[in-house]
Amino acid sequence: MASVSLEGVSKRFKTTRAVESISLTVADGEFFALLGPSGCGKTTLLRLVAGFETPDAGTVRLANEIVGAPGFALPPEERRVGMVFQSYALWPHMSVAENVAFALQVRRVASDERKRRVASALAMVGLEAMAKRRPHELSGGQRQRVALARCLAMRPAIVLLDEPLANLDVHLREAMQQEFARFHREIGATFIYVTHDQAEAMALASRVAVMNDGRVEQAAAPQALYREPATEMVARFVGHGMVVPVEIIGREGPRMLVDLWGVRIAVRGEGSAGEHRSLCLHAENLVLTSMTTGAIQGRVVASAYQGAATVLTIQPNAADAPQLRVEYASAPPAVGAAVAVAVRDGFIIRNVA
Amino acid sequence: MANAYTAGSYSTIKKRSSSSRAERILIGALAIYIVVLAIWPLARLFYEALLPGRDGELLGVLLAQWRTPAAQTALINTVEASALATLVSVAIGVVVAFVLVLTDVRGKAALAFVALLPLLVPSQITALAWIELTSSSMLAPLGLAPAPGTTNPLYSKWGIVLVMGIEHSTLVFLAVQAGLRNLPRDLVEAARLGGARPLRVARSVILPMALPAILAGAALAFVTSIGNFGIPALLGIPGRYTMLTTLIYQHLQGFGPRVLGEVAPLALGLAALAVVGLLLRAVVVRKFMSEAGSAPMEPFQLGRGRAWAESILWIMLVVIAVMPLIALLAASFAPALGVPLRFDTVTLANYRFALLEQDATIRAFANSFLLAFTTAVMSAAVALPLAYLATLRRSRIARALDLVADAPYAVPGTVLAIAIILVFLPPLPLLQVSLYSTIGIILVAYLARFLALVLRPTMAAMGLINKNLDEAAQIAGASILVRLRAVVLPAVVPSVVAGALLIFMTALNELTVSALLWSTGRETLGVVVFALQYEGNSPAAAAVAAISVAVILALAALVTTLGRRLPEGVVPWQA
Repeated sequence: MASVSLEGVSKRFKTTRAVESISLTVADGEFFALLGPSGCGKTTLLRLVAGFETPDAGTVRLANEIVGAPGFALPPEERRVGMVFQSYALWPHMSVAENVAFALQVRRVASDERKRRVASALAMVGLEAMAKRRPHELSGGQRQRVALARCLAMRPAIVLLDEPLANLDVHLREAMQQEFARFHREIGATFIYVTHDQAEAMALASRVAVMNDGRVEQAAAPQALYREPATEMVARFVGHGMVVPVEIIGREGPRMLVDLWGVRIAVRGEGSAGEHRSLCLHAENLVLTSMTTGAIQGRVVASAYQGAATVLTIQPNAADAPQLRVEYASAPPAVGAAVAVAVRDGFIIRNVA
Repeated sequence: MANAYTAGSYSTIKKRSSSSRAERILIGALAIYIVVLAIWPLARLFYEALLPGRDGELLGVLLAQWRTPAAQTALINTVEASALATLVSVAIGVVVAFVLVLTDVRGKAALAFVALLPLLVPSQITALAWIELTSSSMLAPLGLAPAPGTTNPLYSKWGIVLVMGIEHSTLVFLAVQAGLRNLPRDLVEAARLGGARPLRVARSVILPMALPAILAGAALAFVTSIGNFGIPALLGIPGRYTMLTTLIYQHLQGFGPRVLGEVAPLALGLAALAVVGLLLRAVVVRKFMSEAGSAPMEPFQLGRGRAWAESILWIMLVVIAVMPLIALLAASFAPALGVPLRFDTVTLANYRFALLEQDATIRAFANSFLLAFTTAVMSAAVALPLAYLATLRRSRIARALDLVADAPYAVPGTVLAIAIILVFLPPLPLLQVSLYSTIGIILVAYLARFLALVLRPTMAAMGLINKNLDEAAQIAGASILVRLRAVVLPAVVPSVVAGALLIFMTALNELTVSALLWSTGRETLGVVVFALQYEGNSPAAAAVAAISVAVILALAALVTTLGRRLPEGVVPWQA
């Protein structure tokens, strides 16, 4: 059992509250992501799990043993977690093989066994040919894979990853994402993955905790975050959602009827008639239409060609309305043209705005 | 599927954290080391000097000592000679720095090396070299010898001022050079564009801007002058010009450790003078000196005057830095004091005497090498974990220890020696043996004094290490000692080695501290040179001194080659 659980964990640095009363449980073998903008506390949380920080409140447990509590933190060298750093942190005076072998040497693994495990770890990441090279002779992607091999050679039950792909270019990132998914499947360890890239988190993790300002806004499977965001921040951060103000009219069958700038639309969610709530919209549920009633009137303010479709930014005519993004497959209307947008689906955000 | 990489099952973790315990023990050991060596002796000196007198008068011991004419004269002499010497240092240092940094003279690297020689040569050897230069055996062939029987003119206040001024000019040179390099380039260029000629620019724009650097260099030269022992000993004792360092020495020589209590106030006064100087320097540095400047300025073109400037500079530097060393070398080949040196009287007898015949000298070589080596190695071994804890582990205790470790190096060597005697004269607890009159007390004093020399470069290098490297080693399961050896040390080894070499170079010929702590059989090289000169065997002293200088220059070359791999500022003479 290699679960990780945090109960009411808080951490303060000087005057800033980096992490505020966080309670999370990561199940054994799960691929769990911590997602959020810079400064949200996700890296601090990871470091609390690793043992580099001591919590000011709450407890950190690994496999149900307390490893972190106010005034007590089991040092990282005594926890059996692996970690992949954003800067890779390869020791420059050691070769690739020596980097990977270090943890095994520290644990006094016998020489033959050690060589075997190093060789297989390097084979797993496809770098057997680089065993004798030094880190400075490798490219960014290769260094990342050595960092991963170094982590895997230890056979940890828990693997922590701190924005490991942030320094790589886009194509390399996609390839490495698939590698991470493969490793997780093959070795079955618990993965905790920190990232600010929502697409990455959604693609890799079975559950994601969206963090903001030291708190968890929502922790759920990617589908739930996308289709049923709990707060406005989650709605906006995940899947490029848009948030608009609506007034609830009432229930209609399985759906709810709401009024958006004078237009009635049927959406998902819960609420009572007369409530003013926020609605989450996604671009794929917005469609340009020629109808003048039952659709949001506005005009095109920007147009971005993306190959398969063009993303149009539309400013609704209603006062103080946020901009909407709509995808249009064929030749789009010109900037400045008046358009109408039909809303096919949305979700009433649970937290009261 | 059977998979070699299935994650190991999560074993129960030991509750007791042995790793953080190891770290606490390490900090504790380092704290004890530094408290015993640095804090306690100086605190004890402070206490001893402020004791009430025999009749219970408040600060009686202090007042009694400072009421004596001898002490007051020594104080006046110290301040006077040091101030004048500082003026000489500033004059030389500023001129050399200005010319080297701001003009387009050729051969700058060679000029800089010669300008730095005084820094490398220990003060007693500099004094000896100048004595040889102005002795009759040197001047006779030139027809300049004074009538036989006249004392060497260097044995006087002005001799001390001259030699100290030259010796410390390097400190001013280095400070002003650094200051000039950091000048905001645009301000100077604006003046030149405004039509001002180079000399005017130098006088009205550059000089005022360089003033903080000059002041800082001057403060350092002053503090080093008041703590200088070798030059006042070799020139001042024969010339009856007593300074505080030599007064303390003479008290101890004459009456032994009985008079420690009386000598303590003198040491405290000397320390107070040094502290004032250092505070002044710190204020100047903090308030007025800006950080690194922009790209280096375009040097002034000297045109036709360039050859003149080069010649004058070369002559000046050769006379003050090189000729004394040549005189020293020549004197080492002379048969006896006063015999003029000619080709047919050249002899290696002095070297034979020094290296093979005289027991004291052979012992001194062994003692000094042993002391220098042990101090270098032990200090490096202490500096590594201390710098690591202070920088990468952000330990507040370690950072406080780092600040304190500077004190035994900043205070004059005489002050430290007195403080060490006060603490280590009584028998050690448990062992019931006194370190006084053993080589152990010299080792203790060196360990206290020179730690800063290796700690500073090690701290600088440690600051450049990415914290992640240490954290990754923690993740791999490495305890603090394993991390120090496997990850931290390889990253800072050039700085540690450079620092250790600096300690070795400095401790090998050290005189100021060992003059007060040595005993028969436990002489150091510095003491032997001093003693040989004192008993009249100048040529033998010159021979020992020449060997010492050769060793220093070889080590300096070694440190310089290492210097390319080091962070800035580690090698004092490398810009």
